Amino acid sequence: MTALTPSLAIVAARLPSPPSSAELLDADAAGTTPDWRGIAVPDHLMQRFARRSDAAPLAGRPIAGGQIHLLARCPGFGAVLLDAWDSTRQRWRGWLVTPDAAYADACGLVVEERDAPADPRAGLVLCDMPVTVAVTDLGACLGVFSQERLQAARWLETHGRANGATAAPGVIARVALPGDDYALTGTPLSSELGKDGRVAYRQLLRQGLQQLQIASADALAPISKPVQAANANRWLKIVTAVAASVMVVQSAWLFLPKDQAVVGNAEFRSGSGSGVETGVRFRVLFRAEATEAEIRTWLQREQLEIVAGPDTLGAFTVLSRNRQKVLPPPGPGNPLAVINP
Amino acid sequence: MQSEQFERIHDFWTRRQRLSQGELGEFYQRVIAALTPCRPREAASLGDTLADLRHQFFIEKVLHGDSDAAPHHVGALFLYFKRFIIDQLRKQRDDDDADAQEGCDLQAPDAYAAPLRDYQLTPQQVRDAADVFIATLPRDLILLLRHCGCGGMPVNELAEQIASAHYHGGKLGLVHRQKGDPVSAGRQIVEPAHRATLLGSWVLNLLKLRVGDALTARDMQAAQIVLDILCVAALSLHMDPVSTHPNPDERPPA
Repeated sequence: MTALTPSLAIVAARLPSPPSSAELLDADAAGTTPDWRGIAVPDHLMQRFARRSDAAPLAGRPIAGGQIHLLARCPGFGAVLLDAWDSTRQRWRGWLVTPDAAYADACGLVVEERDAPADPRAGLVLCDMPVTVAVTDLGACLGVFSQERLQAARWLETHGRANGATAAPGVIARVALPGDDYALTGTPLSSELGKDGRVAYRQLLRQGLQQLQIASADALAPISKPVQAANANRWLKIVTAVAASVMVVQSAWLFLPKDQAVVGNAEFRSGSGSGVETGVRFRVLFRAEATEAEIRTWLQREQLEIVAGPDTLGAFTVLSRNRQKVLPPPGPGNPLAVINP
Repeated sequence: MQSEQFERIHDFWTRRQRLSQGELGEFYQRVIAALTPCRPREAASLGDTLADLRHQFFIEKVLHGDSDAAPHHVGALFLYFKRFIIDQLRKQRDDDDADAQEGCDLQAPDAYAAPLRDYQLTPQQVRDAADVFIATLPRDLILLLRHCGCGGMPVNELAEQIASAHYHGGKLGLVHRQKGDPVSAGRQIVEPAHRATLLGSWVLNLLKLRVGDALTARDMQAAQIVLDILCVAALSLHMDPVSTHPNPDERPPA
């Protein structure tokens, strides 16, 4: 017996299906109800509760790359780690995420303590199951991956299967990644593992994705151009529009005193090296549904300039010349989705 | 069950996305207690104990369930539980995953002596150090070491605990044993990506090697021997599964 949990029957029962008809018979209930205070709560379950509570504030985060979001139509089935916005198809590309760390294989990235806070429903990123999802497919946010961890997922998608190790279902181990980083994965599948429960597990997941009409990224035609940041096309206009004003601001900086500039907690120099920018930079994601006019008005009101972006996450860098500037939290009255994604 | 007692379950269920850790614990206790008298005969076909099924029901359907419909009385809760069991029966698959798992291919202890001599160590000293090292590890990491690192055969009762321990597994430093490469674990554990782990730093420290040292094939062979002895020590530990229920052997009615 190996450490594959939960059982495949339970995984299968997560798939969408018509409700089963059942009646409660007299024979189904027997005995008395014990005092609930005498029921033991296992330590690992308490840890799970703690992870869930810690991650609860993330639930309402607006959609952004690097985040894990439940599948809105069937949250009990799984979630998706969002990688990049495909502006051509107007969909996010990402990987399927499930709670089931025991089913990790060579392409499975186990969510770890260093990813905290992360809801326990985000336990395993299946990097060999890339999917594309519409914004409307996505529900509550369960966790946020760093750029390094996103990079690890990309690396496992490409190189994970080649990691030849002794096969042992339900077993995890570290694998070295480029740059001395690591990922926790399971041992890889191999030809002699005909009865490996992880094979059936992935079949069940594919079946579930079909039922939910979630497209596999593999099944789609090759992307004609590199996956772009969220809303990149829409943003081209804005970037172009603000470029002129940025140039004016940058020109003005040539004549400003060369005192220290601040970028968040770091200093920065302008790209030309001809002067020193004074101000604070913020990296932000705007809400997907925010209109160009709404954003432009807000930028003017807050006296902000877009100076870079969009990057691979769809984030823009905005500059305030007020070094004490603090952005308002995302919410009503502004188009912000995430600050410093 | 008194209706006022069930009101608490209904309240928890309705607010389950916003419960604190303490409330979730009480919610679990109350649901498991309320379900104890429910013994659907279909459960006998699933092969799990009723205690396991109640536990899984709470995780899958109560905690993570899609439906917002909270049961208003204990009979409705019983019906949810019975449907959970029937759904599994309908979709039951052959999940016989009992593969031949390769264990540690340990060398004879005599073969350990010579390579360790260069490090002023004997196999017994390494074993003693391994016992001390294991004693410093928390239970979940010992579980991982035994069942993931040393080729142990995890028992069913431990499966969920092991899977839960994966979340903390990065700091331990288990590495894959490469197929056809008997010293692969020793070679990997001293790679820069893993040296700072509990296992990596313990092995380096025991062999009196420093993190920045350039290591030789001889060092990696010694590291493998140390890991093999650690496996023997870990597998010789007796560990009891932590029960999810006071009576984990409870069987459903046949």
